[in-house]
Amino acid sequence: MKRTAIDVTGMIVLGMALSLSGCALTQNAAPVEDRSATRANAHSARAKTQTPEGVEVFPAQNEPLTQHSIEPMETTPVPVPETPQVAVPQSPAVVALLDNADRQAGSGKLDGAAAALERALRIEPRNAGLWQRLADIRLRQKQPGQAESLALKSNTLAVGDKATQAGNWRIIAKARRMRGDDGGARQADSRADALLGRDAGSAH
Amino acid sequence: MAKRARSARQAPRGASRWLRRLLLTALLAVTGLGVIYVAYLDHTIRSQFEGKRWALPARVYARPLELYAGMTLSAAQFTEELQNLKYRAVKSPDVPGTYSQQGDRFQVVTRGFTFWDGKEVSHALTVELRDGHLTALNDSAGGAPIGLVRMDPAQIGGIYTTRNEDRILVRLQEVPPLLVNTLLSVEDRTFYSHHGVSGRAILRAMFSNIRAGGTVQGGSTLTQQLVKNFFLSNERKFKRKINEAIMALLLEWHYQKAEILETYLNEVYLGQDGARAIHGFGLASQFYFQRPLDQLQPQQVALLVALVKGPSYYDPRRYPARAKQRRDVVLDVLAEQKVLTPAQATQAKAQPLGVVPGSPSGVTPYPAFLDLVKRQLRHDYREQDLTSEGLQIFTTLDPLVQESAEHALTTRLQALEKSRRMRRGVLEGSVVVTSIEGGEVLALVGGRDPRFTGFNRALDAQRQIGSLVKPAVYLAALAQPAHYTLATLLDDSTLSLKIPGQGYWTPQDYDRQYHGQVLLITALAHSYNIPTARLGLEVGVPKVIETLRHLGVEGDIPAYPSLFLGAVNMAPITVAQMYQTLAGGGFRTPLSAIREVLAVDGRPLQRYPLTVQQVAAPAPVYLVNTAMQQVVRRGTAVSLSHYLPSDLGIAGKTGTTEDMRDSWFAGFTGDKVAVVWVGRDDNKPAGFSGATGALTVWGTMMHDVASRPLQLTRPANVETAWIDSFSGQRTDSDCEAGVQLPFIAGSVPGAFVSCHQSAGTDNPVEKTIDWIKGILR
Repeated sequence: MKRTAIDVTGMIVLGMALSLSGCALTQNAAPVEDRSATRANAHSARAKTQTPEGVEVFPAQNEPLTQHSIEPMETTPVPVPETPQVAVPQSPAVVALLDNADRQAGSGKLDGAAAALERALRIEPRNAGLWQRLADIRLRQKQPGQAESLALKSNTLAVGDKATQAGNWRIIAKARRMRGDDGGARQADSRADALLGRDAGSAH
Repeated sequence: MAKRARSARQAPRGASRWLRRLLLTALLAVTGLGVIYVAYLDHTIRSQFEGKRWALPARVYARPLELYAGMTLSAAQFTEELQNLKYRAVKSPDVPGTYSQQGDRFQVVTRGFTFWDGKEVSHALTVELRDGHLTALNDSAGGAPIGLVRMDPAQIGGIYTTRNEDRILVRLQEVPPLLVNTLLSVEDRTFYSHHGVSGRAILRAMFSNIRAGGTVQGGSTLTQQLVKNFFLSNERKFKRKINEAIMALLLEWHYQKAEILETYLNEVYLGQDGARAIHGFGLASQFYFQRPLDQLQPQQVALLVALVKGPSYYDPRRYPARAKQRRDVVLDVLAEQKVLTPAQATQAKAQPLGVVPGSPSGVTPYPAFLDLVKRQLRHDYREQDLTSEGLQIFTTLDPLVQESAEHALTTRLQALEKSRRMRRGVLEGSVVVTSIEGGEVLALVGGRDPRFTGFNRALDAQRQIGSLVKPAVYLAALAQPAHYTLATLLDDSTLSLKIPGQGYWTPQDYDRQYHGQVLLITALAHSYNIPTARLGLEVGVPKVIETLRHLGVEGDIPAYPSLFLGAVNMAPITVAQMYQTLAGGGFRTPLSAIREVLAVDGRPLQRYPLTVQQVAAPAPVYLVNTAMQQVVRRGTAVSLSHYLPSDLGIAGKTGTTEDMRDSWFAGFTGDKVAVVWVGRDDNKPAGFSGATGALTVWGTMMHDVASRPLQLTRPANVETAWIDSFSGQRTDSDCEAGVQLPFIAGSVPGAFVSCHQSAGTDNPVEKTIDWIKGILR
């Protein structure tokens, strides 16, 4: 929401300088030993190869091969969030819309409930819980395809949040059962069980 | 009859009898034809009356602004929104549609509005905005915090008939009595007693006009004027007058006075706005005074009635003196008829015209976006319903984003032309901005003149996309983690392909250099052509096409290896769909410009719900998006840092086509995807790369747009490893040449090189890098 300095672990200090000077570096560098031959290199296309399209690929013969084997890569790490992300605390605005959605769903106004959830998603688009609620509404509207897709979407945002993930797999199981895919439903249920630390196949 | 026939027999004179028969037949025929003609006129006037009475164009609204604590919103943006909504700045806001501002603090009384999901009531609010955020949202009266308030949406246009008639329907009971009294006093004093035409009215009008020394009143009744309004034809005057009179009588025969008056109030032509004809008092009130009919002052009512006589001759914007003179004549009539007291009339005459300057030009300020809305609606509605059923269309347009997009495109194109001493107006461009998770089109600019209705480049300019295609090539590869990772070494040395029937294809890089062995992530970050072409050839054209299809690209995709470098034409909106799917983590949401459609009475007709479909596995998409963040951090789009802070974590891709004909930039923040194209309409070289052209528009625009930082969510099956950037093998975390990269589980390289094994730290290149690092630290 805010343009806060988030913990992106790999803010590249060097990035700009390196790439701006990249040209000069590679041009002026003294010849460097070409180690490509000694490396395990499955993708070197030095030799003539046959591609799936039946197109011949081979190195151009007449042009000198300039060997700038070393392409400097930034040495600070690429940002990778280490801590699993859990559901973000909801803002009062989203809480109000969730109440609204609950009220409407309670009185059978499923379209209205979905509309309220979509409004909430515009405010917190990466809130896995909201995606799950919408999946649940679609399930109740007998739209198993959308229910499953929305639950999968929720799962991608609920990394590290086992309870939400398990809930999503339950929705997926119901959606698959609704479509007559009992095998797929059992698989989904056992994934939910595994997330909750239960034995697959136990009663639920 | 029988008697006559007998008497005719009694005086048998053959010729005379024939003549009589002939005359009789002729009389019958003429009468018959007359009856048929009148019946025809009757049918015509009734169908016009019935058809026009409620013929309402669809109204198109922008997204409503939702206010809540914590949202990104600057005081300048909020002011802009209030001005778009025509809220009036006042000392102490008390009625809906007014506000006051004291620094960061706003007092606002919102207008109530009926939305798809119910009525949002009017709120009296205190809004505090600090450092670009809404910090407090309270009830003005009690001071209690409010969770969420939805403002009324700005109307951004209408969908009109081919005659471009616009109107805001008013019911007779909603029309202020003063307006009706004024209208009847001036135009038709015997309205309630005549039968459509009035001899007395004609005589009195003549008398009045002679006395006033000019035309003050017309002799036509309101009914005749209404008929005349239905048929603005160029027929000869006499025939037209006769037809009008007959049809006026017929209308009075069929309909109540109240129905005729109400239709007149909604039908009468009162002005022209470019191609848009302003019909009816409801719209005229908005058009001239930007307020509803029931909020008009007497002098404003008088002006509207004054305009009935000749909206162009008395146009208050073009001929204010003439219009004021006519208005004052009307006010005199009102005093004379005792509708106003002499004192009221005098006071009203002392007032200025009060017409708002500079009405919006054209039918909509956002023709390109409206074009998209219409195309989407035509899937579900008939043209006739769109132009006559008074539908309310709630769209996704965010006027604040739209404004930033238009401003950035216009100013940057001018600056680019200036920098190259180009003739002004040579460059063209277009912009599409969408939300990531909802797939909502927030802004659409179809050309450098955003008000121009015409060629919509955002939807219709099919141009080569160049390197914008590369993420699809890399995604197709990374979807096979057993074969490709971000650390896979790709060969950047000369390549020449013999393509059956096509001759040789020798891709080259933008910098015409060969970079040897490069990591896959580096090849994408720097947009190297040859490694990409090699990678594409290994993956295969069909896989790349399949990937593009999954990402949402419809239309023709030529199945040649040149596809890997972007030899495929797409409109900017298609590119936006493709990048939206990537930004959505492999979930495609069809782009949409509409949220809901309501009937004229507020009944919900249709929703366009949020739908998603998983079309790519999250893990490879995560890898591609990570690489696209590197494009911005250190690759071809590094100059974006001139416009935007690096902590936004933007992912993006530049695109440049042969001879610099097309300059593209596509990218996304944490919540928005934006695509910019810059080039020439005649497809001649424009002289800008993606980075020197489109990127500058993108950066200028996004600088002004509220956006969340992009934090990619790492899928559970992605792990990280330290990689030696020369060999692509694993290495120690503290190595100079080490880089931490994400891998799909099980694809981390097996081999390990220690720091000293890595391409010599003794070599001059590394020394130089160390030296630069030393400076920057």
